[in-house]
Amino acid sequence: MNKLKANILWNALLFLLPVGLIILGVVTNNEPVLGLGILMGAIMLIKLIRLILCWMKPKTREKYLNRVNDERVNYIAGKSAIVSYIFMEFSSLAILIYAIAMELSTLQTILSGIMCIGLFAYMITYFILSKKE
Amino acid sequence: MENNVESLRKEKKVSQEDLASIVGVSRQTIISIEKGKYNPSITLAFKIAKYFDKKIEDIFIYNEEKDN
Repeated sequence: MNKLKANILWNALLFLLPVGLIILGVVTNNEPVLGLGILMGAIMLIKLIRLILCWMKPKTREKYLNRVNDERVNYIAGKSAIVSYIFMEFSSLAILIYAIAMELSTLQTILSGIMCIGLFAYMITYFILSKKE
Repeated sequence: MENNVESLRKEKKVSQEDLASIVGVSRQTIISIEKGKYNPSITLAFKIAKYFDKKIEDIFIYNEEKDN
């Protein structure tokens, strides 16, 4: 299965999430949940339609596959992911220092937890990828 | 790393879009390779070399002095 078909299937599967939110919003009469479901559903539906239209036209399909399989795009995506991760960690650290100074204990706990999970997830992902490649 | 992709492509009268489509990448990647901003992977270098019917070292020239 190529990446376009996999993307269509994945998006169709993910579409169940906003559908679930809409049902939940209607059943519990919760307007924010219903609104979130509609918004998410609309965005995902547009994406899904775009992918299906892309799949129907051979030339657009080829262009799409060239773009998603493009090694430079993947290289840039990887690089920007790591830069964003470092930025997030340092931002969290700055807010954590602020929380310590202001004696905001709940924020301290939450931020410490998020930072630890982030670093741990990075270590695990790195270990798995280094074994794979 | 220097390369002759642009001159070979112009010699063969192929557009960047067509070359990108043949080797399975985006046009932006071909532009970056031609400008020397991006060094392709060995697979992509092989594909480009195969398309121009040349050896990799005839297209991509490793310049040790520039690399350091």
